[in-house]
Amino acid sequence: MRESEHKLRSVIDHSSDMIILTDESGAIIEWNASAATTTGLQREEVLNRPIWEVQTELGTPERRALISLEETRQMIQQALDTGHASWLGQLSESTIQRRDGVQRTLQSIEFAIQTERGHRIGSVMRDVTDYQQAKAALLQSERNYREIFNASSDAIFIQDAQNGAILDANQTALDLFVCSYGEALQMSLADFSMNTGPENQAVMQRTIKEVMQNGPLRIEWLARKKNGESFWAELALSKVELGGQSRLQVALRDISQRKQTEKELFAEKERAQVTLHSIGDAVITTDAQAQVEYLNPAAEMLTGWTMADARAGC
Amino acid sequence: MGGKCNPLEWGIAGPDGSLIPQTLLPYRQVAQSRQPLYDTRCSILRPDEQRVHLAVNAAPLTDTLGDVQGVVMTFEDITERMQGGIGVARE
Repeated sequence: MRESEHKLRSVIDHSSDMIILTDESGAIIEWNASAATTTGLQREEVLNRPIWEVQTELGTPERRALISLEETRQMIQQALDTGHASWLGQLSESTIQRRDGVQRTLQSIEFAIQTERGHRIGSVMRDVTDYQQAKAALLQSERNYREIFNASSDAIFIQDAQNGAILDANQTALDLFVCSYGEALQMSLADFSMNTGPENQAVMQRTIKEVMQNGPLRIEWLARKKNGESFWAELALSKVELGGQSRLQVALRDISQRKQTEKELFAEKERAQVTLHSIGDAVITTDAQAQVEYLNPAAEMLTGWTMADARAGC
Repeated sequence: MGGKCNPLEWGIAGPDGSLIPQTLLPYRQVAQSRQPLYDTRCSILRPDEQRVHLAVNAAPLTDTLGDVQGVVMTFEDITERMQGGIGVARE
């Protein structure tokens, strides 16, 4: 029996959880080292004091304003008398405030122990402050990401790099591809491509692999809306860590207008070149630094200098 | 040879045969004033040392902000006319 008690004592003393026990009158008879470290109240300070008194002392100002010492006493007294209370056996979270003003969040479960003289109340508590702060930071980070994700004027897809499945899509993506969120999640990027042949799929797979291994890439891509309409898009592919998983982020913008402008500019330049080449007048253009950029054949004949001379010298 | 594609090195002379100062070269004037020039007379020295008389039209090439990005020039060979005295009369 003595050996068993010694083992139990050792477990309580070395537990990283706070272990608190009252006698049948509500006086604290157990307050382990972890309880002392977490609350800042030493074992000697709290032993034999009523649990409601210590609990109230450790309450935050908000909690003390909400529940008085007497109400706390009555609540615990009822559990001591009957062994029953709505809060017994329930996992709950509460915040305490230490004497130094530091607040800690505790997760706890209280239970009644029946004895010959009535009931004792036991409590096992765990300091979850750091976990809660990390969780809150993660939530905030995800909320921030979600806000940026949805506010982006670029269409963004989050894709499983392994199987190509779309895991998430922002509103801009849904608007651009004229599909619902549910439909997008049933598709892969290949479904949004005009080039669906096996060769193009292989190119896309290689590109994704490169992004996941070596970092971001930008490519131009002929995209297809759900209604079959096609458009040129610029894709910024990057690897992102979401929920502890490596994912492919695809930020996409419609560059049809830019492509069209480039095409028109090229055509216009071609027309100008052909015209300049065919006319009989000598034409020379210079840049802002007066370096010759272009001589048409008539100018070459007239000046005795050639475009090759111009390219070599300018 | 390559560097001679720069018009500055073409030995550009006015109708009287004297070299035109750089600041008064047609493309310089156009680049500075942003205004086109029409039928300006000058001559250049070809690589074969032959002097060719020219009537030059020049206009600035500007970007969307109106800044001069270059100059486009058209040339008409008026050597024969100059030798016949017609060009001189027009000056």
